[in-house]
Amino acid sequence: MSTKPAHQVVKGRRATLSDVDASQAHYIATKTTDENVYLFVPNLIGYARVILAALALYYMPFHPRYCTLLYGASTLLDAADGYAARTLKQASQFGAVLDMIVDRQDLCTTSCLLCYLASAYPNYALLFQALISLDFSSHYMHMVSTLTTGSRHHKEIKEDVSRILRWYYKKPVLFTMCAGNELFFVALYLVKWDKTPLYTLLPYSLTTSPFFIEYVPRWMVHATFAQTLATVTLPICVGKNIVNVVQAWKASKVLVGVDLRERALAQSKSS
Amino acid sequence: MPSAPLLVPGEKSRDVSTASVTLDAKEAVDIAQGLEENVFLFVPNLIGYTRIILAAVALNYMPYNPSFATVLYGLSCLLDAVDGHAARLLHQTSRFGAVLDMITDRCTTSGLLCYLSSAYPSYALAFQALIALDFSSHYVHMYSTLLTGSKSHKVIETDVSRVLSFYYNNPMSESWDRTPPLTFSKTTLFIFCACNELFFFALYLMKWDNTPLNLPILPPFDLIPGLATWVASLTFAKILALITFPICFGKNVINVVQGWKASKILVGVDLAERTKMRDRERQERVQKEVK
Repeated sequence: MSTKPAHQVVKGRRATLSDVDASQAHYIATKTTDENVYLFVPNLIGYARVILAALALYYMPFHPRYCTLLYGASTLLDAADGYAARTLKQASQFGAVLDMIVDRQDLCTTSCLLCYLASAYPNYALLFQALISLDFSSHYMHMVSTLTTGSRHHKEIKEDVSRILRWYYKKPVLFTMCAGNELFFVALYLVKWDKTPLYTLLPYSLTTSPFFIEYVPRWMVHATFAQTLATVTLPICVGKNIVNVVQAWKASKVLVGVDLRERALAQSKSS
Repeated sequence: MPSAPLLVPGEKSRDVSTASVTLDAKEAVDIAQGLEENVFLFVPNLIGYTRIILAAVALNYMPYNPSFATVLYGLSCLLDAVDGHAARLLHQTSRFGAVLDMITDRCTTSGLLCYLSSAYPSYALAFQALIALDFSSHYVHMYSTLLTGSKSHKVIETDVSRVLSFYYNNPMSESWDRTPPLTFSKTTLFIFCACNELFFFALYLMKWDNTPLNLPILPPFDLIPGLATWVASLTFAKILALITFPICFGKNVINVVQGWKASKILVGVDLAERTKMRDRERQERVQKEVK
């Protein structure tokens, strides 16, 4: 059993059952005056991220530059708050949940971006709505199954629940998948604004050379940065959403297992 | 000794306290694969899957066939009431079912809100905010409930009941000493929550319903300039939206309150753990010095 003090646990704090119940916790939160979890630095960073993300959404329909800058800033702060939590020893349950809600790859920010994309690409609206639903469902189910079985760490897959999920939760993999997924949606947004073909960045002498004109396909010549980014990140987005499905499936199996065990116990008690 | 009461078959499983059995995830999955009863095929859960399909088809028709969309979405919502009863009657309540129920509710609402943000682009940010509020308030509420293993593990609908009862029975209200204390039945609560969705659906219908009802206006109101023409121009959808707006507003205020309360609980848990941690460290330091 880990004997690490709570504040050295990595971001995504352990989700064990607490020692206090809800009313005790509420009482403590109301009466304690020397420490204010709401004012912990990582949580302040969290609030800043909410504001930046909201501003980014405000500018989304008409100012892609501001929007991208604000969204990018919000994302960078995501890395900062985990670092702050570790160095300042201010990791908290509240911070972990705030992170989950505000984090670029989780609940709210991505959903709002997808919501915008549903109006920007009306033919694919249903697909974006489905992605919102999948995103929320998999995270919610995972959370419920994790806390119900008292797992210590929601990002720590114990034993062999799923090999895919264990691979997924390796730090570099997790980061690439989440960043790539998010980047794909941002690229889809930018496609609507970026009309500069990449070949304009190449030297004139090259692009007018006979070799270039004859051998380079038209679609590659006219590709914009946004389109290229979208094409590159598309497989990552597909992969991440497959993992979401796997996660939801495994989580529901866990819940069903708990259900069956409880039903069996209840039956043996009554018989 | 289990910390939470065992789930009695037949009890409406909105009970989402932590499991009364100690299982870890791997054990749970093994059980799910081994036993003969298939929770995935329980009737209330089958109803849940049907709801998802109906809602998805409704969302598909939403941009161009309001009649189909209305019928399908309405059916999906009606089944929401049915699956609870089915679970109780057939003794098929389950945690999985409760989670499925919650997810379906949130996802159908977010799909509708998503559509509305493209139908009313000037209010897109407001609809996005509502989606965010909906997701986050329910998520943090469930998280804090499971974390603290609350005995009073009521789902938001019942908390809605408490908040409503509080405001209604408040001694400051004029009618207090004349009316008996009010508790809200499950049906009332269901209607309250349904009206929240009805408001959004009414906003959708407003885009399609252009039939003024030509409602007459009663004196003395006909003295107010412009009011008579406005009332006459009201369509059914607009009236529905006007009636359900206060309920929608109230429900979202309650969502904010819920979210706030839940985050307070999380903060309380944090403070308790930090205190415990500091005490432990202090003891360790003392022991080291003694040695």
